[in-house]
Amino acid sequence: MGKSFSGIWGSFQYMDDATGAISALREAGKDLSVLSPFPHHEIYHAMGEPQSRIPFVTLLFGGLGVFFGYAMTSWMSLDWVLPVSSKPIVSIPPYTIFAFELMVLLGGISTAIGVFVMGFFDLARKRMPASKAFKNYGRFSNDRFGVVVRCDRGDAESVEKIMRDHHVEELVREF
Amino acid sequence: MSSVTYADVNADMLRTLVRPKPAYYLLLVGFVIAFGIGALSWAIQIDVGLGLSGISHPVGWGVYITNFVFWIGIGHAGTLISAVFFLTRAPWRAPVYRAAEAMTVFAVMTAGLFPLIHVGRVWLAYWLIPYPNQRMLWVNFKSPLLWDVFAVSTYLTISVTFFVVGLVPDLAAMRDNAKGIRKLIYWQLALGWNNSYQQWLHYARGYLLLAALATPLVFSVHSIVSWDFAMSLIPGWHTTIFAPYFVAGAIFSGLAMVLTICIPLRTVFGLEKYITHHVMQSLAKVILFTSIIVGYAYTTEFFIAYYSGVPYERGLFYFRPFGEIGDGSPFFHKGDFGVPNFAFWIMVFCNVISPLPLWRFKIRNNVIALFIISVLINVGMWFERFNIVVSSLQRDFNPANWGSYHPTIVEFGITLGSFGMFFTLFTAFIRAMPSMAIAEVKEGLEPPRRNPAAHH
Repeated sequence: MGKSFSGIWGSFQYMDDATGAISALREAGKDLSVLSPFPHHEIYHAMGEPQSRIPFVTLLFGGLGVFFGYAMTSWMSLDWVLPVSSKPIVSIPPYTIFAFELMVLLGGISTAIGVFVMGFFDLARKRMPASKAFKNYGRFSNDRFGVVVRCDRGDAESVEKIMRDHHVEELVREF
Repeated sequence: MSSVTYADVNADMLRTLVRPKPAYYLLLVGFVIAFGIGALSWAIQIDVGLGLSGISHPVGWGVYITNFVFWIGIGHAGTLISAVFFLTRAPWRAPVYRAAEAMTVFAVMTAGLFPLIHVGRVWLAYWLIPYPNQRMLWVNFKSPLLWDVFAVSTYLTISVTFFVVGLVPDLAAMRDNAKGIRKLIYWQLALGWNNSYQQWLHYARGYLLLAALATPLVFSVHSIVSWDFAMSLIPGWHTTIFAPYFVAGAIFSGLAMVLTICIPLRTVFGLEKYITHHVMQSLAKVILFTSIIVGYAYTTEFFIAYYSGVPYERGLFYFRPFGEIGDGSPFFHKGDFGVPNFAFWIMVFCNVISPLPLWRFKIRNNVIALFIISVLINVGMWFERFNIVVSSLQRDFNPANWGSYHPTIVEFGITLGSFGMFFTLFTAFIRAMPSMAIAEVKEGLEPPRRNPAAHH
């Protein structure tokens, strides 16, 4: 994914500089990615409030968990009948516990896996810089905000101007 | 934390991972020895048989089930702090939630061993799981014990999941700062995390959903553990208040354990600017609140026993504090004031009396006082579990069934080993992984701005 990257990346010390640059680049119609040491609502606002599809995964697998919880207990109860005093063979109230537990179990595990799988695929669709300078930069997990803009040489000037206008700290061209 | 910068957070966390002082190793060796004693005791019990323990008729559940309930309770605080306090947006949770989550995972792992220890023939423990066997005979889904199998295994899985999801971005931060073999290990464990907003977007939403799923789980797990008791007809167990009573007790003991481990953690690793007095005071307030609930539950149990008019209940609730009913003073009958009665008064003192000083700001602000109170609460909560488990079994409906229970050295060894295992795992964890949530602590800081008025 990285080898075909063509564009510019820069780092920002200040949040307002970074969000200002993101907004301006988006207004200019540029294709960009943002890196930050933690998730922050101001970055989401600047990126136009993108939505994650994770809730659908949670809903799907949580629902499956509920189904399996009731289905497994009911089927096993009927497969080998264990009469206990006059209690019904298939007893919904205690089986609700299994439905709940499996809902949480499947919903939770699928959500966790979904976080990383969706992040990976979303990232794979966006080309990122492959240079050593970018890979070894290390400060986007520490104290700097990064903006990666995918563009060709012709757009470089305008992108650089926007980033410089917003006090970019370091600027790297990769073509 | 106003003077703390983002770079400080990374640097301070990295500092906790470098070569520690010799005292650390001394402590670790002590915990490993305790763990070893427990492992040896269990090995002897497996070899000789469950007869080595004091468990017998009528007390079929002794120290092992006490330990199981105690450790499950300890395991409540992590998910409470990481999920419930996350949803309620408690800002003080960030510096302690990683340690609390690690504590939860290790406590539930420890707890999970006790049903295996308790069944005696541990090699048959897989019978608890519904699997297709030769006779196609399935487990009894109407049994609270099976509810427990599902509840505890789900809780452990979700706690580990929550823990790992929160850890990945911090491992990436460590990867970017570490050197040598450590960098290689963190690089592998960071799962390709590069801090891009595409990843954060799914992470933030996924974390919120995990918290939403884990929140009812926190309350359900100890409710289900309490139903192991409450679904039976034994006096002292068969009561509807058990679920909220157990949940409050679990939160109470879990948060006390968070203080017990976080106070040394902040002192040894110099994390005072993160785990501040405000954080500890907030924990102390929740502890005080749950202590009141627990104290209320103790009182209600006695009132209901009296008000029900059931002689078995009344007899048991006389037996718990005072021993056998006899003539003369309720206290100190010759030979009648036994282990469960001591357990009762230790429980009352540690869980109801000892947290009372927390009403005072000065005490909540005093680290040593908080540490002492938190340890006392842990002791008290162990004895509360012991009191519930053992005393009811000693005195059921039929006096001909009554009996006594004395834990043996094997049970003491295994109990010591459980503490050894828990603290060994935790001590090893703080050297290997960031013990504070780096990304979340940063979220709590005001971002650096060129124009401070630019915040919208």
